[in-house]
Amino acid sequence: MGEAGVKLPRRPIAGRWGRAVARTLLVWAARLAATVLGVLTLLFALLHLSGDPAATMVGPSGTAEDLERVREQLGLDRPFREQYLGFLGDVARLEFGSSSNTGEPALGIVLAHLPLTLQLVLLTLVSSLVVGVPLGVWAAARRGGVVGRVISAAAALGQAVPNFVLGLVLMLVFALWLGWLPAYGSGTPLHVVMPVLTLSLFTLARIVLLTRAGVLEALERDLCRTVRAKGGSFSRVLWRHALPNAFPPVLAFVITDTGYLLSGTVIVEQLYSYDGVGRQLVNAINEQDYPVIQATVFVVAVVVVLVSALGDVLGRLLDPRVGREVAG
Amino acid sequence: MYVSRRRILQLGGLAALGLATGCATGPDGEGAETGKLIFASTAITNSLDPLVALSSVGSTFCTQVYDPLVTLGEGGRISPALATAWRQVDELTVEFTLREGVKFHNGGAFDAQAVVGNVERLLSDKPEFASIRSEMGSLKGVEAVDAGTVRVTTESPDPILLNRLTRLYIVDPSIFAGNPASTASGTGPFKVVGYKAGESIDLEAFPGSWRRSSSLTKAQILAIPDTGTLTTALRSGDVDGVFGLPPAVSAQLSSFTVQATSAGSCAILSMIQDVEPKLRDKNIRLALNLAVDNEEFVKEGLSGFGEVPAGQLLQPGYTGYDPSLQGFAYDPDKAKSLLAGTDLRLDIATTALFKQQAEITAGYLAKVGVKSEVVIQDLSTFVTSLLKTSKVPLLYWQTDYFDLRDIASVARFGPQPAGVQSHFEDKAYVELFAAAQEEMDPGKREETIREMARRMNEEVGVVFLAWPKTVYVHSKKTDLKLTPSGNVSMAESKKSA
Repeated sequence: MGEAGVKLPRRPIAGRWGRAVARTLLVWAARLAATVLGVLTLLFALLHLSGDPAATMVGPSGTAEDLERVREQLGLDRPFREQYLGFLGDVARLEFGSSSNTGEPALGIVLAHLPLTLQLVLLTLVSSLVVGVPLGVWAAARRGGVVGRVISAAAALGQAVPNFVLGLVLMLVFALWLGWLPAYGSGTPLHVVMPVLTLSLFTLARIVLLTRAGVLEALERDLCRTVRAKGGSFSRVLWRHALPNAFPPVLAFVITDTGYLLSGTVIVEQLYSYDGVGRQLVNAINEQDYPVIQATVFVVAVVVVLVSALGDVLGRLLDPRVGREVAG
Repeated sequence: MYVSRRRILQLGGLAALGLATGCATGPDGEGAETGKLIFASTAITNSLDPLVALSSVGSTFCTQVYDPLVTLGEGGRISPALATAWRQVDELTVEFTLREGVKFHNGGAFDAQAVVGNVERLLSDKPEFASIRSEMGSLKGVEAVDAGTVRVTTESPDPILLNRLTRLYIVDPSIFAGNPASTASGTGPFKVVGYKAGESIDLEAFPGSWRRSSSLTKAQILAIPDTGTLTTALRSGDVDGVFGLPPAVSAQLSSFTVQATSAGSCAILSMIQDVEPKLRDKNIRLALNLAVDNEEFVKEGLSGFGEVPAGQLLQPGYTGYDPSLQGFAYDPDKAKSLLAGTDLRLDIATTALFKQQAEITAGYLAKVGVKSEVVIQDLSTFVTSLLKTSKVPLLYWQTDYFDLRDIASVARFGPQPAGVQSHFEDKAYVELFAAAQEEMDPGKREETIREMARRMNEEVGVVFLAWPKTVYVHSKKTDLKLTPSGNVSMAESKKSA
């Protein structure tokens, strides 16, 4: 409201939305650029501290002269700063060079493997949510009972089992003893089962415990007590009122966990010879294939930042308080 | 090094599960199809280009798809491949008569121009060819005399030029314009029909090959990085044969056929005297050799897949092996007396691949009072330690003379340029090494190499540990044949129903 008797023109809603969207996009773009720059700078430094790719190319049968010649050919004899600036320039143009093994463009190699890894991560998240949330609600509803205790204990145990141990056990049972699932490889739905189960256990367990804790907390709130006092059924309170209040922390965890899952795929893809970005990265590290390593880290950093941005949007949609808090 | 209880439990659990996976009883599988062989390893070549695919897994691939001009036959004898005959024109020139009627997988004819194209490509000095270039000695060029004859020339006399050329696989020049790292066309018994870099290579028998497959029509070379998964795949019958398992795991697979063949190398400790000057004392070097129980090392470090070295690098069957030489018998008491009053700390650098063997060796040194810890280096750092300068006094490695089947491969003990460490500071040995590189008379050359072996033994130039073996494990329904070089020959292998 303006001064008495003076009507201020209302700003068009579309304009306000446009500015808000533009500001949000700007913030995300800045966050993306800062994250990627930081990660790549760290990577560049670590790679140059970790060894000499020229030595790998020359091999033990070479000579010291061979080593020096290859270093010169690869530009590794140039000053560190010069190499770094050149590297940043290449990244800005999305030019990561070609794989030193296959000669294929490094970014293309990574993007070709990315869908399988994203498939793994998405299936893990979806299956963990679909199973974990109902289990968490059930555990909260039966707190103090046998079912509630068993679910909570199993979830606590699930958090403690390292995924490579679980992977070996699953392989032993389903591939070797029962012969139901292939022990290695990718490309068919059956190949996805064991990697997803392996990756899911920790996420599932965490979702169960977070949901249970959130629902129990919500059940103690005035809102839920009032609904119960007005004759609402326990089931209605549980699913319509307690769960929506308990869900935002679960969502926040899922978003954070996406980054961990992406890193977890490195171990799981190695274990199951799954043809994703994680296995590609380990191959590239073993072969000191710098272009592929850099392209992989770039792509993963971008994916993590984008998922984080998506999490912001979903968080605002599911919990309007977040938007209001941000708006001040 | 502090190791937490949690870490110990984690490692213990992992080891138990790995063991369970390895020991679990399962069907002795035979793979999916009778005419198809699936062969897996912890890694496969990351490039289909034979000039880059030089490792043992690279050779496994190249052997099926490509041919060199000459190859190593039984007993290391140079045998015909794409060249049917050769003659030494002069000290710097060898003339090859090429096999007639040979076709590449893409349909082109193999001829002298193909050889010229391959040698010129090798000499193009690209950084990715650095390793193969260093194996080619003073190779200078090649000229086509006619369609069926080529002359290969060297800068200086090279007595093992033919050995070197066994490493030069001939690629169809028509694919040079594309990317030979991801496409292949050779003259071998199998052609590549599918390739995922570092993951799998699908092969199909090439009926037009001059050495075509006798039984198998298809084959696949697979990478399964985790050894537990690799073992499970073998036990479940998903793969027919595996290579690259740790010796301890291979030893447990008693229901399968285990083939062990000489790896053509000697596991040693290089003693870098620039780092620890006390190693210039011959008694110290002798004490380190006496401290090592070679028989136990072979049994525990290599799970029995190796032999006790007879005080020399080369094994029987290699030019210059001296049957009169003896190894250093295990005598820790004498080692202690030789080391009395000497305060020594001798750390051992190696790569993760040889961690266990290096730790066992460090244990032997500790028993005679030498403080020693294992320093794991990544491959490139370790190669730099080997080629230029090391900061660690002892280097555990395997002197790979397999590739050239000649002592020339072990150039670390030969002459070194200024600023580069010596692995064996012995002027006489270095002079003998240099002489052997130029001696064109085979008899005299063999005697020179024997003299080198005697010198290395007398002066205790290295700590001799073992002659390791390469291990292949396959189902009993698979008849896996190996070439004289120790690679799998799928063309000669068979698989029964």
